[in-house]
Formats: sequence, C-alpha cells, structure tokens
Amino acid sequence: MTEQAWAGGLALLGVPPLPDLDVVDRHIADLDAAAAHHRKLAAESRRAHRLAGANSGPAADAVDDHVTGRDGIALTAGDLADRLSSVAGTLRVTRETLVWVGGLLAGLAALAVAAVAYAPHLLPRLRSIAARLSARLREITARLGALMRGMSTTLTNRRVDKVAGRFHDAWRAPRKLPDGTYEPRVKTTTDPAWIKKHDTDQVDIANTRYRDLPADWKRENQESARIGVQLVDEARASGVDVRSERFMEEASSVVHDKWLVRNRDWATEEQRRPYELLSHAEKEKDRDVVRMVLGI
Amino acid sequence: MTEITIDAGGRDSAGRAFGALADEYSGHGGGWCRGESPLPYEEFAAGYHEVTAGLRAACEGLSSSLDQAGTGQVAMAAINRGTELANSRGWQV
Repeated sequence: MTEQAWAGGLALLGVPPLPDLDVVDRHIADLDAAAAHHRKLAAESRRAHRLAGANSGPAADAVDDHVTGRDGIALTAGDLADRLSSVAGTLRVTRETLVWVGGLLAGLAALAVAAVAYAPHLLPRLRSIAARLSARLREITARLGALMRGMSTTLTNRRVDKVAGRFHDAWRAPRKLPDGTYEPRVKTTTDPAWIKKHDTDQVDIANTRYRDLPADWKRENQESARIGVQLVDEARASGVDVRSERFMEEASSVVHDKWLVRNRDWATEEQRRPYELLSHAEKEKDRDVVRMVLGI
Repeated sequence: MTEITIDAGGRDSAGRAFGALADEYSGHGGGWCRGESPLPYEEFAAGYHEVTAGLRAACEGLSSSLDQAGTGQVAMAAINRGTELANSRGWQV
C-alpha cells in the first residue's frame, strides 16, 4: 500500500496519521549516545583520579569523596548513564507500540479503501475499531508519559537530597573535632520509624549523616533544597543564565521569603525583613542555598 | 594520627586530566533531545520534557563537579609544591 493510499485509508477511518518514527529513532539515538558518553566518563574519571593515588590524608580523602564517593563524579556519571538508558528504553517501548498500532491501522486502512468500493456498509465498523485502537494508543503513551514523569520525580528528589546533604555537611563542618567526629548536638525526634529503628528518640544530629537523620531533622534542609532546585530548574527551562548576579539575587530573595514562611515564629527581627533590607551576612545564607544547588 | 602523603605531581596530573574531561564534557553538552517531543501527544510530551530537563540539570551539576575537580586539584598541587619549596629553603638555611 502506497503512502498516499495509506493516508487516504486513515482519512476514511477518521484517525490522524501516527507520529513519525524517524523522530522517535533520533531521540533514541541521542539518548543512547549520551548514556554511552556518561558511561565512558565514569570510567575515565576513575582513571584520572588514580593519577593522584599516592596522596593520603584529610585533603586527599575529601577529593576521593568528591570523585568516588556516594555522590561523587564517577557514581553520578554512571547513574546518569543508567537513567538516560532507561529513558531510551521507554522510548523503545513507545516505538514498538507505534509499530504495532501502525500495523493494525495499516490493515484497517487497506480494508477501508476496499470497503468504499465493494462494501460501504462495513466502514462504520472499521471506523469504530480504528477509533478504539487510536484511543488505546493514547492510553498507552499517556502511561509511558506518566512513567517518565515518575522518573523525573525520582531524579529531582535525589538532587534535593544531595543538596540537602551538602547543607547538613556545611552546618556541621565547624563542629569537626581532630578525631574526625563532630561536637555532639543531641535533639529529640518525633519520627516514629526512626525511633523504632534506633530504639530511642534522641539523635545526635551532628554525628549523623544527612541520609540517616530522622525525617523531622531532615525537613528544613530538604525544604530549602527543594525550593533552590525548583528555582534553578525553572530558570534553566526558561533560558535564564543561572550563573548571573541577577538570577542569584532574585532566587535568593525567593529562598528568603519561603524560609520566612516556615520559620517566622522564631526568626529574629532582622530576619523578618524583606531580602533587600537584610545584612550582607544574612543575604549570604540565602545565596548559599542557590550556590549549593548550582554546585559553586 | 592521620598519615599525610603528598604527591604534588600526581595531584597536578589528576587535576589536568579532570580539566580535560570537564572541557570535553561541556563541549558534548546537554544538546541531546532538545526541542520537539518525539510524540505530539501532550500527555506523553509533558513527562518526556520533565525527565529530559531533569537529566540536563543533573548533567550541569556534573559539569560543575568535573570543573571543580580539575581546577581544585591543580590549585592544590600548586600549594603543595609551594609548601615543599618553602620547606626545602628553610632546611637549607
């Protein structure tokens, strides 16, 4: 069946033409290439890191963590490779679905062309089957879209946790003792899961890694991080230069406003002022949130 | 007590290697899958744009980390060399 006859058959069936598979293939190829690039980067960053392997001590440990740690370059590159492959995999499923539905519609289109000449009474029936197929296709692609939305949420939550972890580490850094532990800061938690797991409601937040903190002691850092990530993502999506001074000031002002909504009860007189009227030191706290998100 | 070993040459080489990786990575960029969605269906396109935008944001973070690993280690090596030089001059006096 020629392209023209196929399009004519679809028009008889009353369904729109299917999306162009070449466009889907191009996206799959792009994602595969990006995944391969990140996989290679993960290996090369480990190789580059080994060049400094003879170094040891606290400074060397900090670089080790930056490169090979849980949130380090090598694992992040590997993780990105996996995620890019997952999106490519989802597009492959989408493509298969399009091919499957396209094949069925092509058969129906051929029948519709023949029906016009020999059995016009069959056309309504064929139209109804084609409409059901089209609806099914939209249903499947909507589910695939929701699946990708879920992937996006996981990715965002992970970035939020990473940034929140940096806030926590920055907060406890001045408490670091020569033996590598931190000056304790014991707090009471109301997180039932944490209490059950640790058999106590007392938590030394300074000597606990961010990811092991109870939910209530993660919350403030998590909220600030989420706002920062959201501001940066929205700005990037609208083409704003997130490294500009203007963005830094605008975003910091929003960070401050949102912080004040959460903490007004105990905020100092100065902290209750609008961002523009804060002291340099107070403004820097808000700017630090944006800097942490940007990794600068 | 923590043992400290300094190999400024190795640190400098690692820094330069990371600098090269950072340059290559920023050249590669996050240009993939920009523009149109592979499918014109809105319910699909929204999810696709969200996930690719999130991935690109994560790539930008990775680009910064690579850059820091490069410039940071080169600077660290320079400080280490400066300290070694100062120490050796001190011993010679």
